[in-house]
Amino acid sequence: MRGAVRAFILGAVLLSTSPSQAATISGTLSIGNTRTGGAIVYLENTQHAADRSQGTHAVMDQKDLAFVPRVLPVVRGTVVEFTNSDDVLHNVFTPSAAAGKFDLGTYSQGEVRSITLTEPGEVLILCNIHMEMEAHILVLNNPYFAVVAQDGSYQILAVPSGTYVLRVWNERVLPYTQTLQVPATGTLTVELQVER
Amino acid sequence: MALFADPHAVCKSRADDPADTNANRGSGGNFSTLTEHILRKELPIRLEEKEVAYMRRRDILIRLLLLGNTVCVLWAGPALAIPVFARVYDKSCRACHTVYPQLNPAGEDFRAHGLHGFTPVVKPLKVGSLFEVPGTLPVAISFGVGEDISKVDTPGQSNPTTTHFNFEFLSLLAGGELGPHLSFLADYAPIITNTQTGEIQVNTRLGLGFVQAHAEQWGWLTNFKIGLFELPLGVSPRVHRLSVQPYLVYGLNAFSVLGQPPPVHGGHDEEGEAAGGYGPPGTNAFIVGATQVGLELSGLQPTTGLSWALGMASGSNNRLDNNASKDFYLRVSQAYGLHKVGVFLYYSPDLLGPGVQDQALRLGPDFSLYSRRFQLFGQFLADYDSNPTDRGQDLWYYGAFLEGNYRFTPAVISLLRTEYAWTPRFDDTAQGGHSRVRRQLWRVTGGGQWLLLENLKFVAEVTYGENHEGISEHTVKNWSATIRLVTAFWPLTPPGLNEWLTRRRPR
Repeated sequence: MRGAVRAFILGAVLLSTSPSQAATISGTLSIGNTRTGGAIVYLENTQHAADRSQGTHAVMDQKDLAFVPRVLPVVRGTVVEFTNSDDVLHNVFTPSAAAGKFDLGTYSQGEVRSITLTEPGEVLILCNIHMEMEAHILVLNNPYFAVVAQDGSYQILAVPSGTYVLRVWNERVLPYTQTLQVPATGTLTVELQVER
Repeated sequence: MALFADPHAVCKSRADDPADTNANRGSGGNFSTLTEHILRKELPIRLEEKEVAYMRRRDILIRLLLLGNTVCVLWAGPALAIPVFARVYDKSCRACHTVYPQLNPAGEDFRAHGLHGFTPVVKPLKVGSLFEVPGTLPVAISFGVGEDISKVDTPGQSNPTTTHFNFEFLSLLAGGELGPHLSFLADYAPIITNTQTGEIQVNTRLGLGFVQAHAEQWGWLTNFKIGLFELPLGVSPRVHRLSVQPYLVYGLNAFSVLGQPPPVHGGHDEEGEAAGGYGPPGTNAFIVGATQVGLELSGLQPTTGLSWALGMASGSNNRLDNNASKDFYLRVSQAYGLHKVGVFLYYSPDLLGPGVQDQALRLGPDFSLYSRRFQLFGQFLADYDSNPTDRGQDLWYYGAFLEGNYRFTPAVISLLRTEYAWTPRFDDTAQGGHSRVRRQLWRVTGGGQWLLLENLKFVAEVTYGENHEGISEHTVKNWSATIRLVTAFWPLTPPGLNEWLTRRRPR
């Protein structure tokens, strides 16, 4: 009986702290006056900062002498696999301290090398052989992010209610932050305009 | 290009040699030709009216060619305007080059695979189970046009600066697979220019031409090639050198260091002399930087980075052998990631023709460091000739260079090179000879290259050097500069032979 009471109390506590309801944040992003894709819109909230994504995999390919995708947001703890679909040698390395300045070496078509990204931050991905190849991985604390589509639209799903800081990342824009109060349900439309 | 004009020295490298097309491709000036003028007391050069008219016509022709080429390059588009491999494999130049012709590690890998590894977009024609021919004409054109400026100051005489707008070179490149285990590569420059005088010359010698067999067994990539090819130097004058300047250390031989021709006729440029004295005698004696006729077996173990090349060569550059002896060479290198160290050894039982035996040795280490933006490479060579003047007196001389390339952007690259060569005192007068030499040569080259298009680049370089002969205390100072446009392209891309042969006739 005592065990059942404990379980009930624990369940009640968990239910009270976990998001039972969630909202969607959507809108468009304009850089200057132009709707632009490729940026990342993400939320920061200390309440969910401990969220990790252990074991989750993401893939960044090397194809036609380019990293694909060029911008990749992941939750920290994600294993990022770097494939090589080109029939030339490629190399993957980063000078970013947030990722420990890793170098996955030089490898040929069909090979896959991976790295687990545990620290939040921006990771610049480069190829030692092809100077023009460049990509960015944004390691985030929670899964509440979206890659802005080419028409400028974005949508962040299943966001628990609460107060968040919304940020926009793009390699060519100034840092942008906005505080948001996310409702328990429904869609919150946030139009974003950032400057270069 | 050579580099040092001195009445006591005839330092001449392959850029002045019509047969070495690649060196000419890079030549920025021609001090040694100027040396000849100095020796013949022909300076200052006076131009006759006919010559002026000729030069005007030549400049008009060059400008028309440049305009035509630019139109071809721009009109053809990136998929068509690129040379052999890029066209056959439908790849961007930057897949294998930093700035052409310099290879990046992916290009080195393609080279180590015997020019195999990519899937041809233009399908080859099968001839039996092991032999294929390229499905399109595997040829490209490369040429350069630009302004060359140079000045040579000899002891007690300051000579005027010379400038020439030159059609620098025209070269035909060919290469490709001949099946899963065979490939070929060739380079022929039908037209080259004496950059000092602007004189356009017809060249009949191949610059490069070999057939190569490739196999992969027991973890080794092995290649066997036969024909006319580069020696396996640590820094290849053809696929690593960015500068228009050939490497000083690769262009020296005992005769250029001593400033006199070989004691026998076998090392002379008979054709050149017959054609009007292009090049001082002796300049066609063996240098490591020239392509050699021979055969070579090489291996690379990708897992360990260990590689070697063992070969036999005629030691007569790209000419028929001038004696019965064959030369041997060995190179061993070890890669650490994209960095490499190696050592090169070349031995010739006799470099000269019949009647005089001159054993020769070339030995030295090299290194290369590679990163995305920066490359640093260097070479040291110790050179030995046992009997260069036929007086029984041996000669040691040494040379080294260090070069850095820095890429500001994917399209803009800079280079800085410093070179030094010297010989201790050589004196064969006690043996009845007349050579007394103690020479020091140094040179600094700086410049940059800008890729305007993938296959069109702008080159600007400046070089300053000195040639000091220590016994007579003579110093020759020279500087040269060049700005030029260089391109490689193919103006016509017919349908692939396979597609053409298999297409159905319209009913």
